[in-house]
Amino acid sequence: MHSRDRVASRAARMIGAAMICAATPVLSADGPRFGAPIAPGDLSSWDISIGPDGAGLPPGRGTPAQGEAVYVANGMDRPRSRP
Amino acid sequence: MRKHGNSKERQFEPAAANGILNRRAFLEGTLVAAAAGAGVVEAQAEPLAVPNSMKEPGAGFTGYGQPSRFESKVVRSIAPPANPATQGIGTARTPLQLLNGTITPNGLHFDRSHSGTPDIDPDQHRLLIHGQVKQPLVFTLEALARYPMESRIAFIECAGNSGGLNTAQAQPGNAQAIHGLLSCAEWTGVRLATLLDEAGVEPSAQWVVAEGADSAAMSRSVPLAKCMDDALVCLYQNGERVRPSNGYPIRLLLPGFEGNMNVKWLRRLKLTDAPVMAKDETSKYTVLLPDGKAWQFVFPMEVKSIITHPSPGLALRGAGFYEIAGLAWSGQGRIRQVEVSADGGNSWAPAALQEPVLPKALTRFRAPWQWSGGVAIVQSRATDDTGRVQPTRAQFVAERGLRGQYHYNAISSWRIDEKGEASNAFA
Repeated sequence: MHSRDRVASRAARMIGAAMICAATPVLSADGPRFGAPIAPGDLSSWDISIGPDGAGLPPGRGTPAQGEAVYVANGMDRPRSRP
Repeated sequence: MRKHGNSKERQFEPAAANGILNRRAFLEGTLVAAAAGAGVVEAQAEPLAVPNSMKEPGAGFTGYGQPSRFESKVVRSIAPPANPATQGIGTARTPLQLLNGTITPNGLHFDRSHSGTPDIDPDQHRLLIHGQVKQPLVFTLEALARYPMESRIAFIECAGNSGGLNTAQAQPGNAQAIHGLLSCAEWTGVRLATLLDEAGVEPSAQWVVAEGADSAAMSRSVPLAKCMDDALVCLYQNGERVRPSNGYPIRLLLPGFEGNMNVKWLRRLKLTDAPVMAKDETSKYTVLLPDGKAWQFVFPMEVKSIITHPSPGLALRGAGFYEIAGLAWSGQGRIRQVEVSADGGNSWAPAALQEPVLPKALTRFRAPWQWSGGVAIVQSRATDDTGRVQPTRAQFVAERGLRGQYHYNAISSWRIDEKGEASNAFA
C-alpha cells in the first residue's frame, strides 16, 4: 500500500472511532468512584474514636486503675511494666 | 576447570581483619573455592547411586502447595501468651536465619496481634472513610477490587523488633527470637490517595485515624501527607489475598513506617485535624528517653541491618570459607552500603548488595569470609541513601538509654566461639 493511502486509511478509522465514541455516554474522568455515599447519622455506630479531650466517650466515669482491670479482664494486651 | 589455590591474587585479598574477604569475589561472579591459604580439604566423595526418586513415579498434584516435609522446622516462633485466656495476643516471629533472599513466604510473615486474628467474611467487610471529608464513603471488597492497583515490595518491622537488645545484658536466643518481627512482601492494592480524593479531603484535615476490625479496634493516627504519598490499601500479599494474620481481607501499608501503623483488618479511616491519641501512640509505641521524656509519633523505622548467616543455631563446621549474609533496610529510603566486620567493629569492609535494592524494602547483603577457627565477633553496619548510618550500640544507648523498647536499630553482634557456635554479644 502506498504510504499516502495508509495515512488516509488511518484517518478514516479514527473518524469512525470518534463517531462510535460520540454515540456512547461520556463518562467523567475523575476516578472510579465505587464508594457508596453514607449519611453521617448512619455511621455513628462505627465512629468509636475517643479524642484526647474525651470527646466521643459514653456517659459514666472511672479511674485509670479501674480501666486497667476491665482492660485485662477483657483479654487485651497485658500492660507492660517499665523498669 | 580451575584448580584450587592459584587465583588468590585476583579476588581473595583480605578486605578487613579476621578473615573478611573482598566482596568482588561475589560482584564479579568469579567465586571459586580458593580462599587464601586455609581452604577445607574435602574428603573423597562416596560412589554415586541412583536415587529412589528416579525409580518410581512421584506424587500427584495438590491444590495448595506446601513446603517439603523435610522443612517442618521452618516455622514462626510463638511467644507464650501473657494471658492464657487469650491465645491470639502476642507475636509470631519470622525464622530469618532459615530463609534467604528478601521476600518472606506468606505463612512465615511475622504476626503481632493485640487481640487475636479475627475471622472476617470479605463479603461482609466494609471500609468506611469519614470525618473531615466532603462525602463519607463506604467501600465493599468488590468495589475496592475494581480500582486500579499497584504493587510495592516493602518490609514491615514491628517497632519493638530487636528491643530485647535495649537492655544491659546480651540476650540468649537466635536471630528469629531477637530480630524476627521483620518481614518483607510484595503488597498489592489501591492507592489510599485515590480513595481519599473521592471522599474529598477537607482543608482542615491533617491526620487519618486508621482502625482495624479486630476486637480491640486497634487504631493509629497517620499523617495525611503519608496517606496521600505512598500508602496502599492492600488486598494481596505476594500475589495471593492477604493472610488472616496479616489483615485479611484488607490492610493498610505505610511503607517504612513502624509495623503497628500498618493497620490490619482495616475497616475505618477517619480524617481529623489532630491525632486521636490512641493507646498505641501514647502508652505504647513511644520511645522513653533517659531524662524521662518520651518521643511520640516516631514513624519511620531507621536504617538497620542484621546478620542472618552465621547466627545462633547455624554452627560453623570447621575453619574455612563461609558467606556472611544478612538483611539491611531503611524506612527512610534505599540502602546505599552495608559494611561487615569480623573483629567486633575494629575493621570493616563493604559487603555486596544483591539486586534489587529497593527503597523501604529488605536488601540482601553478602560478604565472603575465611573463618580462622578462632573467636570472631561479626557485625554489619548499614547506610541508607539519606546518609543515615546505623549507630553503634554505645551511641544508641548514650542517646536513648535502656528503656526505649521501640525503634532499636543499633549494630548487633554475633560472637562465634572456637566451636563455631554463635550467640548474641554486646561488643
